[in-house]
Amino acid sequence: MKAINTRGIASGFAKFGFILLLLPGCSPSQSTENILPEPKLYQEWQLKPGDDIAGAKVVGGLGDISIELNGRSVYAPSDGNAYLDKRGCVYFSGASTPGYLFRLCGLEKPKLGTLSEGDKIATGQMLQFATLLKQADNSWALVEPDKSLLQRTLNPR
Amino acid sequence: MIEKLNSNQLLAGVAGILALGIFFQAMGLPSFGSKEAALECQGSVRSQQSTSKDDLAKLLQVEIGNSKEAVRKLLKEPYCVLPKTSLRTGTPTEREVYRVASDALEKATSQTYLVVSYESNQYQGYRFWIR
Repeated sequence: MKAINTRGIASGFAKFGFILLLLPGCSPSQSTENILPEPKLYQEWQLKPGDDIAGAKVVGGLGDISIELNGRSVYAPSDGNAYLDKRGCVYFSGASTPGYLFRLCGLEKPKLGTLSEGDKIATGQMLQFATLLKQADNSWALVEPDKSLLQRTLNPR
Repeated sequence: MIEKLNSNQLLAGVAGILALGIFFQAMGLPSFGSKEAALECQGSVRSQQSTSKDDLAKLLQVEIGNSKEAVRKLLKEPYCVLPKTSLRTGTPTEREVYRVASDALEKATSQTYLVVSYESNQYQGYRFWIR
């Protein structure tokens, strides 16, 4: 009787170990599902961030606001989702702000996926911030971000 | 006999801890401190108001830039209104929430809302909000 019980416990622990092994496999992977194709912009300017000019890399474009972060953090301005494009820029889409995308370039190791308002997205040295508004033709226009939006992005909650 | 009871209790304890762990894993909570997303309705909430799936299908066809009146005519009065916000300079953004009609089972598991936004009385787009 006693032997059966200990075997039961042992198999229980074996199962426990098995489930522990499985748990990391269940956590959301950030490698592919949060990658976004670069949105088509409404403004078709010759040079945009990421381009090359005379062998030098363009880091900021018309429509970006450049902010010296010096290692400070940026935060989710509302609940929403963060994505990455192949250039390494972060796109934040707020859950209660339809039609808008916020583009943040220059961040290091950003946190992607579902974020709550005030969650830290990443730190960086030089942030290029752009506000994109969806147009009727499905392109995205660069618009002037409101100061309050930038304040919410730069201040922890 | 006492020993058997103890080992059973131990098993039950381990099972309980496991169940809790799986529960929190399934809930997707990164920590105990995280808060759940909530709709910050401002003013009155029309709790009886819900939007049919047919009307929802029609909204998906509405193009950006259409008048607020056109969207309101389709969706009627919203479930509630979110506080006005400013995303781009000089243009306040209005956001209205609609509750998508669901059956009892859907209601028990999740509730889908639709956030619709306007600027200068022009329709800007929608986003689903699933609770």
